[in-house]
Amino acid sequence: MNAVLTLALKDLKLLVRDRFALFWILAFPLMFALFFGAIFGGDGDGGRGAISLTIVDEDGSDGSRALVERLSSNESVTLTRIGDGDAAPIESPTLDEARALVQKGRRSAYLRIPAGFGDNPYAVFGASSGDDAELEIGIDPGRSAETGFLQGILMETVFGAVFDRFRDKPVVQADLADVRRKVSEADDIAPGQKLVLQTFFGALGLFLDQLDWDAMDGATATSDGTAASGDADRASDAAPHDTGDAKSGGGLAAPFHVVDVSRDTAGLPRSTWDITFPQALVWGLMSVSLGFAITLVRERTAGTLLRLRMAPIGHAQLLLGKGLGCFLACTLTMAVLLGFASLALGLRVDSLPLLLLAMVSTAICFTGIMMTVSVLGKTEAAVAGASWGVLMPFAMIGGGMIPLFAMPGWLAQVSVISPFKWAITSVEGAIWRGFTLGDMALPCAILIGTGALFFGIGVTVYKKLDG
Amino acid sequence: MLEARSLRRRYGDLLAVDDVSFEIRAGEAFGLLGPNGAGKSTTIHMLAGVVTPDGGEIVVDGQRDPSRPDVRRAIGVAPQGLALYDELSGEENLAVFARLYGLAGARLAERVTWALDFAGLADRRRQRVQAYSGGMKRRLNLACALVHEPKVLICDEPTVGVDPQSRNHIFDCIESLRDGGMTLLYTTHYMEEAQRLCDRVAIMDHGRILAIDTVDALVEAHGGLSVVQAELATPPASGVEVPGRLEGTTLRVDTDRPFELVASLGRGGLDIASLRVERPDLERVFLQLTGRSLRDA
Repeated sequence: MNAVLTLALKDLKLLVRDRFALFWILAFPLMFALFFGAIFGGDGDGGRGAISLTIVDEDGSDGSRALVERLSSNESVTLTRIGDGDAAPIESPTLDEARALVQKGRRSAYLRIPAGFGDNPYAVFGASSGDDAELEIGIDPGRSAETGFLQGILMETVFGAVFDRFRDKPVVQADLADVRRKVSEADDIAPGQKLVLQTFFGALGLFLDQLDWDAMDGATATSDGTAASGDADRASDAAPHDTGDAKSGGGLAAPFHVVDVSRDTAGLPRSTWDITFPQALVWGLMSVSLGFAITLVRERTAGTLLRLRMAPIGHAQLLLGKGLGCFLACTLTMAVLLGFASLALGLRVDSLPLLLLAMVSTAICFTGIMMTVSVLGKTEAAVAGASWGVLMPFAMIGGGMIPLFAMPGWLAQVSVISPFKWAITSVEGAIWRGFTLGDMALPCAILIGTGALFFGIGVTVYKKLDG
Repeated sequence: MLEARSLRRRYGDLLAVDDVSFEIRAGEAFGLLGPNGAGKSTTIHMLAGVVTPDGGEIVVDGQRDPSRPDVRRAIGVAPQGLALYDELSGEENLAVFARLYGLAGARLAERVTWALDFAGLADRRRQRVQAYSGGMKRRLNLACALVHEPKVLICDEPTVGVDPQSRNHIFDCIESLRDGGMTLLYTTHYMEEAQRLCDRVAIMDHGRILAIDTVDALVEAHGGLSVVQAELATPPASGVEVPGRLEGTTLRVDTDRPFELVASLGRGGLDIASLRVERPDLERVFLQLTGRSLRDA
């Protein structure tokens, strides 16, 4: 065992000192993962594009429709339409459907407009009509940045709707008449106070009647956005769960509350790193296999293999040493790449034990591949050329280039013959696919079996070549 | 210490080694002299246990199976090619091979230090081999064969491609080993090396041993007569009898007593301008045994 370990450590040392090999084993896969991961969205935490929102309109009033219309014109929000073009209707799921969309990560959040929302257009001023009529935002608590952003957008939209109402003379006059009627019917207002209020609202009605609405339209249009966004900014600072206190104080209040809808990430990648790093691993492992195969040929041509064979170690120990070196290099390569992704990019692993199982199985597979690859030629150049020619197609159909989930059906079927596919599947299974031990059994068994088969083939041919 | 009995090895149609037998006594320096392709390396590989003979028997220190680990530990082989890891330092190379022979701890460190001193590389022990000169690599190649302190050292053409200075250094190293009592098997196609380093020499060609003996005995048995060649200042006067063959002013005489002949030529009144004595050597032995020159073979 000491001899096997000596040989393995010797090979690892040689590998570490070969900068060219290290580039292909670590630097290239890292660049691959970062490049494609960044192109296709990085960590997927948003803040870069519009927030995808789905609306549950339980009110169906003019007020709710106006709110949705205003949201749809906001570039920071994306509402999915059923059909093509801006005229297509906006999707209108039920609350359960909307919650499922958020849980599955297909929408960032949902906005529920409860029945009765349109009856209380001034809720933003604290005029409560009860919690049941309050807007509801459903979003993953982990999306804190998007939550605050969305609250700001909603405040801006609600204020905009109120100011729109203020610019509509018949609506304002009708609202004023409604208020005067409620005051006169109210039992809890003293007669003296009623008189004062009726006098005030009467004067206000006269003032509004005489107002030049066209001129005011332009003025409010100028100040509208500024005032609204400013208020919205201030309001958005208030915690969403404090809306009750804000209303009781009689000031501006956020007319909504936030509901936690934890995203169900089981079986779904949390970020593009979840896809690109398992892909990158197989490129690194392919380079490790090739590197070791070439060193085996180099040992033969340089004469060191002869010296090793003259040492008091058997053929089996010699090949086991080479295999152990390759196995350790494969495992270390995966550990370094995944460790980097975890520490620098926040890659999360669903199951560390299953990841270790996947890594060991994958390392065994690529060690076997190394052994067979090493007998594909008698010179370093021949082995390198033949190996790339054989392994590259397997890597490409096995998910090295096109992610497994994005493969067309025919390619997905063909990919089962590639050990690269099973390596990626097992690693993804442990990282984000939510595999159980039972789920891991098939890919790991295929990897170990493939490794054993190729190792056996390689050893047999090697012994034959060696006489 | 090391005995080959009727060794035979065939590669396809080529009979690389044919009925080779010899015995090397403990402390003896034994040379295998022959041209490239004579079967020297195949013989060595069989002795080292990496090539299985088709026939015959090998005995190393009383053990009959050279593929056994304990038998291999008794042998150190410096292969013809530079069997070194260029990306490792000299010290690391030695440590790797020493560990494979079971050395560890203080004993390992002690032997590595000894081997570095032996090769004259102590001050460059941590430098990678790729930075070494050709001669330094040759010395390290030899040291790697000795680091586990074998009883028998097999050197397979250790001076191939080495500059004269490094060659002398290697000769000094091997002579010091020989003088220290190391059993030595040395293959070469340079007769000067065999003559300088070996107590006994086997002449090998086409896979067969043609002759085995001490250098002097071989020369005496197969080298023929010495040749005295005299360049005369003036042709001899008519009537003067001269030995050998006279071509113009060049006189060539084959003799088994060259110095007595030279003295008689001086007394015979010949006006000798220059004189050269060619004693028979292993080159002549090889020529005599094979009908062709060792250098041209």
